[in-house]
Amino acid sequence: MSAKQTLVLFWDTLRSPPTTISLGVLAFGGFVTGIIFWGGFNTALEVTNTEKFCISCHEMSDNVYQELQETVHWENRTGVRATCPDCHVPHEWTNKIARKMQASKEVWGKIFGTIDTREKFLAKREELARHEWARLEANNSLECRNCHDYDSMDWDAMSDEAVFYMQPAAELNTGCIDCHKGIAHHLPEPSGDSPVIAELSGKAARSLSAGEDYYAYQPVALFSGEDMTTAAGNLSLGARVQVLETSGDTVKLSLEAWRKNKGYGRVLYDQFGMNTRVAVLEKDAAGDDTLVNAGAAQTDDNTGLDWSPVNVTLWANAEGFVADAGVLWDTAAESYASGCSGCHAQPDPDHFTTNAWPALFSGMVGFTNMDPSEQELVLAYLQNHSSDHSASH
Amino acid sequence: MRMRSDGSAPPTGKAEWLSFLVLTLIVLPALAVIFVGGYGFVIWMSQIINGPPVVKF
Repeated sequence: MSAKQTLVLFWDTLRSPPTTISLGVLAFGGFVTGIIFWGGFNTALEVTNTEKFCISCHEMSDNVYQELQETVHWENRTGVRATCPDCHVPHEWTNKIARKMQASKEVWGKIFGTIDTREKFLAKREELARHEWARLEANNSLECRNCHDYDSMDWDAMSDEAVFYMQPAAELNTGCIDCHKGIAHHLPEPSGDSPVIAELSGKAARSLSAGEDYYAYQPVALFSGEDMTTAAGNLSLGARVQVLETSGDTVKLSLEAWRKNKGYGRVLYDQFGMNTRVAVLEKDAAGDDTLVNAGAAQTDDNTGLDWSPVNVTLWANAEGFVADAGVLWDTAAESYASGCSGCHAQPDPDHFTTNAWPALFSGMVGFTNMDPSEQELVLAYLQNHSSDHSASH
Repeated sequence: MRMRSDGSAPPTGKAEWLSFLVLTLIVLPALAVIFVGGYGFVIWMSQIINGPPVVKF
């Protein structure tokens, strides 16, 4: 009998009333096989939702599983612990099924050895971590909250320090992962050499001359004196400084900026009323009149805040600067275009104001793979080319 | 009795049992798995487009 004949016979049999099997037997048989199937389906779902199943791949058991064993989610005084699926598989049915299908990607990775060595895993760790952070940020740390609940927290049982941070978070209903990253597995190593910064260092000013302006392309450590012993703060990427004196590897800098007359005035901004950060000072340096020379305050009508122009004189090592801001902004513009155009046409920098960019940028940057230095550079670029700096808007 | 598509004799008891078992033990379970898996796959694809599911507390 050919395959086609078999199929025809099968179909004919299915579409005619049974001649030899009773209705009762058919109904009972269908009922029983249905029960067996449903039980088997749920059992399979449960088996693939166990830690034992997760660590049956060495990718899991040699990396993340080892790290978990150093944490409170593995061992603690109450003897309750979290297993892999408690945090990483949604408990609600629809999303659980979607996650199970997503695991086909992990099977693919297993077959083709995507992270089959420690080195490959470490290289991918940041990307993998970002996926989980994005998921937990979107669902407001749902998997954490399956066990942890603000309403069940006993403030009296907590240390004062814990209450200090936790109570405001509870009032804002902040998701756990917003603060508690890296509590069950190691954090991704900050990749020290950002490719963008490395590219800029090839264009750095070889030597600095007194009287010239320079721009920081990486965070530059500032010091209160020529002896370079007392830390005074850091220049932000894109900050413009004037070199006053050079002596060997150290330079005396002058920074023209603005500060908000609020708190210690530690954060310095580029222009009046514009939240373009150019430096963050240590508390002592910010309050030192010999280093920070503040002018008459002006009130920003938009916010009601008083701003003062400041002239800051500090010392730094003569590295981390470029002579031409164009070099910085060209590099940043390239990063901005390549990072954002993956998903949408990026708006022109002058489409938004200087003060609107930080929130817009931080809302989107999680979808890109920009490293922290690159993010800071691109934000500085956007703020320095916003509608406030453009004649066309 | 309805006409068979190839005009052959009505199915025998053996063919009926075989068809019943193939249907309930293989075809329908496979369809159920495909259906649920396909549903999960569609949700996954929608999450790629719309981002991960958002939950408000």
